[in-house]
Amino acid sequence: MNNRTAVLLTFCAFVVFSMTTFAQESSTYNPHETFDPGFLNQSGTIYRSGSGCPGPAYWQNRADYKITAELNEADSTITANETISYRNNSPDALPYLWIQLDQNLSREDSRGTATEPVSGMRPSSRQFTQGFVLKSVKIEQDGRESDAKYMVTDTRMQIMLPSAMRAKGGEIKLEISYSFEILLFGAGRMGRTDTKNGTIYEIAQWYPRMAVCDDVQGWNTLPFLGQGEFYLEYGDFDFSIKVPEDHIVVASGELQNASEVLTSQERKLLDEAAKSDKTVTIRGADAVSPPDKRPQHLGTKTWHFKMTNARDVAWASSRSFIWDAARVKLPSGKRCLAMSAYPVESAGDSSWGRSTEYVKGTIEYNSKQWFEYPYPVAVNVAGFVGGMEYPGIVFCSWRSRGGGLWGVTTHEIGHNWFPMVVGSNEREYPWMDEGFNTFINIYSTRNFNNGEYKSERDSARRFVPMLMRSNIFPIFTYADNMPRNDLSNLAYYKPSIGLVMLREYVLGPDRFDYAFREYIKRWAFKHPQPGDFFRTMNEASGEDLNWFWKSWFMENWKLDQTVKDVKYVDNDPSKGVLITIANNEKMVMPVTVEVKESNGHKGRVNLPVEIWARGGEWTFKYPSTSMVEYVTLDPDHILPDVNSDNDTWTSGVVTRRPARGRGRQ
Amino acid sequence: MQKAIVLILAVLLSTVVTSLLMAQKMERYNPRLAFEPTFLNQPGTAFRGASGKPGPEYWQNRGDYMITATLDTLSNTLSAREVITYTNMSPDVLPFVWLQLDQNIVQKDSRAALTQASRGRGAPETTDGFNLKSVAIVDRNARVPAKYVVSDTRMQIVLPSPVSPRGGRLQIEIEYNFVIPRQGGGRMGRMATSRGMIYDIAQWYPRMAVYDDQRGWDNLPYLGSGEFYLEYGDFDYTLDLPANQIVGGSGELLNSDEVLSAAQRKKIREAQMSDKTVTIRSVAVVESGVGSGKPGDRKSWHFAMKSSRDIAWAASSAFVWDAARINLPSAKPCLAMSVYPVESAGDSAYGRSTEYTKYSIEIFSKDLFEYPWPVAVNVGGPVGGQEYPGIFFCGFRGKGKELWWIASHEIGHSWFPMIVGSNERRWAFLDEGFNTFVDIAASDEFNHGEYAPKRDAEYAPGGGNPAREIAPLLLDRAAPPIITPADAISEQYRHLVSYYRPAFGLVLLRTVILGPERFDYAFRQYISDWAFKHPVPSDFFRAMNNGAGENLNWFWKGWFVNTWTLDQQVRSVKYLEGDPTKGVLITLGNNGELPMPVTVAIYESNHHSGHVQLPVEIWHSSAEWTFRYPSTSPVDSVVVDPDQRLPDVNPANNVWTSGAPATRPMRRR
Repeated sequence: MNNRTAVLLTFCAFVVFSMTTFAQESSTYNPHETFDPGFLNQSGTIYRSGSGCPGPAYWQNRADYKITAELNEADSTITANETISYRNNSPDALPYLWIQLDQNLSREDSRGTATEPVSGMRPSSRQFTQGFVLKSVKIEQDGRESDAKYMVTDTRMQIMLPSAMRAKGGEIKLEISYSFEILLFGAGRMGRTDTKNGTIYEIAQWYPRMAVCDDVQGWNTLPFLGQGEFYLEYGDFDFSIKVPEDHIVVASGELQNASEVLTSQERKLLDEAAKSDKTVTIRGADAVSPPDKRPQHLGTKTWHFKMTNARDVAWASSRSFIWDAARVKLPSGKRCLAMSAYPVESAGDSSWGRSTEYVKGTIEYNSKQWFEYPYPVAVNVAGFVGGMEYPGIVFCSWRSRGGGLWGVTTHEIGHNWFPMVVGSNEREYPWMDEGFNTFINIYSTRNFNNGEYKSERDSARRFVPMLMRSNIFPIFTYADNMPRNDLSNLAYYKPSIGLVMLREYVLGPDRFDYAFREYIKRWAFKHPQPGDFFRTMNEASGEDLNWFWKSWFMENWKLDQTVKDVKYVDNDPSKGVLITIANNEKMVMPVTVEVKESNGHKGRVNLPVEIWARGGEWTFKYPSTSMVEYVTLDPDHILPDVNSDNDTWTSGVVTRRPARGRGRQ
Repeated sequence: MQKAIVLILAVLLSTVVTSLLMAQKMERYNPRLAFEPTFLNQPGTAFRGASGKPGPEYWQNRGDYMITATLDTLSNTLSAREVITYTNMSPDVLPFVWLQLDQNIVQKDSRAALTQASRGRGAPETTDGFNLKSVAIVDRNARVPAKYVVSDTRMQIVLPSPVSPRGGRLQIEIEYNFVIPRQGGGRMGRMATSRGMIYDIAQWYPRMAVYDDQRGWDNLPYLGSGEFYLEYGDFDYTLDLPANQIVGGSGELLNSDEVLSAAQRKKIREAQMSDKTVTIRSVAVVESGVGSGKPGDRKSWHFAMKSSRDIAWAASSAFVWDAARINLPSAKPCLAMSVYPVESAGDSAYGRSTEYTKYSIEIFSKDLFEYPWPVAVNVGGPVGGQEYPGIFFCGFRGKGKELWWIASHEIGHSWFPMIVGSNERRWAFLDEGFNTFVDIAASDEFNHGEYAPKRDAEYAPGGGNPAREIAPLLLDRAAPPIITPADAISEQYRHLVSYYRPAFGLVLLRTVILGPERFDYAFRQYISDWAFKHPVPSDFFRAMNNGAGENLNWFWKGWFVNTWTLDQQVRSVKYLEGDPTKGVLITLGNNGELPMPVTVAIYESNHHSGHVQLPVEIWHSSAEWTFRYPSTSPVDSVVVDPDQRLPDVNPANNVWTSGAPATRPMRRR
């Protein structure tokens, strides 16, 4: 081969090599994209202020429900009559209404059924029902009653009103008579569990309810597909449930007719529990009668409950229930009872025997730390449903024990804060309830019983593998659009870790807690949007965190910070060093730099995120006086840097990596 | 060795080029982009509600016009004096106002002349546009000469004192004249016929620009392709012309006893009670010249129109004139009329124009919203097809089905944009596309489908299946999206992008995605909520989302805002446990950027067949979807979109066959 050829070949090889390596090492960071002036830049409206507060003309419609229902064990059905009193506080007349018919998910022709992924090659053994069987739908408007003109499409019903509901206070009553079959396992959120002493009925999504009409989308009519949860109006509930007379019923809200349905002994024990921090058994295993000891002909009892200012009610009924309770100490001193209902199979202190203690602990901590629990009762029910929340009542797995039972209980009870009090749209923004709840669970767990169940799982580093996936969805994805396998990471863990980083690394606990409490207070019993949360946190903490919201919540960006260069001033190690750091990927974070010198001195510099505002590189002087052994970023390994190899610069003199330390408190 | 080098370089180059090309050509489905949660996610405002209805504080300014004009048929000049009463309902103080001077489009160096290829017909003619003799503001009963600046087809008047908000009034008086061009921007003009000049008069008075809550003054210049955006108000206009002229005008003639003969008035009264066309001025009368009056005689025709955004009129001594009544749902009186030259007479042409007008208005009033004006006139003249409130200009050569299609289209514009007053210049599709869509049903309904299906220059011109014919447009990377402003769409794309594509999109929405009942309910709500108002595209999108109860944002984004392609595919068919009696797992793919609900037909060898409908939600997080079908015998073929209703750009991969020769599937029509 001649010289010219060799040169040419070398040149070609170089071109190819540099193209490929260039592709790998070139920075994608664009400060204009990360510190995007257009993000969250829209003016507030009169309904939602620029500050993240509800605006001066903020409105919300209201739905009160009166339901009488009967549980029929023989055919596993519920038959009911409900009256919905709906009030239109919006500034628009409403010519039609939308209602949610969630039981229709269980139909064979439902959209949820059609979008259920096939699992394996075996034929399906799924059961279906008819969903809600509507016997009659009537309207009472302006004093006149008429049959409703309606159209049902999957889990949504549209009622075309004879005349539009008046804006700013128009009222209407809907009277619906219906029934439905209780599936064994209804979309993981309600169902029946057969236990040795009787079937447990965990009942939810059990009445047609109003869809939300808001100032952001008008009517919110996304179908119930199974993965995305709920978005509901607030109001008062008054409901009566007729069950076999040997059943115990626990429900959202407060029992109104204890004297009719409880024995005097049970009432006495409940009063005792209301004054006791230790769990009091109201109905023990000994009172639960096995099937062969039951009377032949059972009558019925009707249990009457009320709940004010809630967005939903659920209940559970069984003859198999053990029932215990204890008082919850709320900051205001208001009366509150923690209760548990579970079958004998789940009894015992290594299992559900401690459930009430867990409910009480969660509510007391969250009430002190964030916002006082607003309801008079909180019940934990054991059954098939692994973990599902409703205002004032939660369903957790009857097989849960120990740390697992603590974890699921504190999570489901935690949901009373998000979304039961702070009423976000779970179907569109699952992270606003799951993520925020998982976040507060971290602290309720750290603080329960001297950290009995504390875990070290709250580390952002766990997310590095997920963040590396180029096609990962961002947190800001509707619930039903998240791939099933990514749901827990995207809706639960990533947002909660984001808030941990914000609290413990970016803002500090005092500023964070103040802002977070402010958010909860502003939006309690209302319908916040993501922008309301971002704006409130920005404003109440006094920090423009848009770079953070965008990086962590809105996009699937990665963090890769690196030490690029270390140069002695005037080439003299006694004169200090100029350290150049770089931000290679699109996410930014404030930087903690640790410098170790050969004279043994170790120091840290904290640089604010603003160093990245104009470019992806930053140089600063560190006043070292001897040779530098290493310079390392994120010395406590808090951040989810996807390429930790380039976090450290060493002089080559010392090769050991710095030891892991505790995070900034 | 040289050869080896050349080879290496060639390989390198081709690798680079191929990867670049592949990056461009691969249109991979991205569910994050398709179901983007920030699309249409902004809160509603007090002016435009989140539900797609006007908000509680919705406001709109108003322009009332009083015009007296004189037509000089010798010099073909129109001279006029107008008084504009402008009401500022906005919450803002207005220190200046903008007006539209559309005749300036015909000036020699108009922005239109400099930027647009001529609209086709003949050598470009020029005039001086509007010659403004005087412009005055009436300020507290005093006439003050206005301080104004003219820039192309726009005029700004700086007011002596600002107009106050929420009801402040302004009066502008303008005296002007202009030479009537033969072709005025393609939307007005004049033409000589054997019996006299036909004048199609429009854009004939300076009028207010729109001031709205979107951008304040909306001042896009009149460039020719983009049409109009106008305020609503009442019009009162008087036309002084030679006595031999017959005039058709927007609105209602108020002084028929002064300008029409007793015989003509009697025929009109007959027409008002007749579903069959009644001749008011026959071909014979036109040809004989009877009733023309003495040369030099003049008449003043006085018209008025309420709640309108514009007025136009046509005059000619050559007009044949007929009429019939229109039966509106409320039984309010309404008259359909036609005026046209003798050259266009006869039942194969304009002899049926009034019939077409009458039935178009009846069909649209029944299906959409009742026609709100007392008269509808169709004019056969120089302008090929142009709509105004209450009057339509159609080409005098129109015949048979082409005349039906053009007439019903121009009449359909009464709904979009004359009633639903969108901004035609920014969003041509809101009127052209929606109108073309409703024209399809009108063609199906008229006279037992005499001219059905609608297939013309504006909709599936090839005459075949619109779903298949539109595929090349979806693949054309140079085609602009529907939402592009009219003057940014070149002529070659105008019909495809502003008429066909949006109309077909609504067909998909109605027949495939929502179903007719849900679509019609929501569409009618949109029309009645925005009647005589100014909707923008997001109002329409939100109105449909709310009225139909479906989050259709993926469709608005994919079809209207972007130019996404659709390519559904049957990827594989596998028997459960390898056993054809146990059913199959069918895997579908969505290759293009646009998701769509899917209809799948399965044909079994035992002659069983079935249909499965899958909702668009299957594409929420992946470009692939697998489902079970309970077949019990070997499957011969699986077909997506068996009825060919979707604009799939690659129909070849819609069909999977087992390759078994025995039973081929029946091709569904």
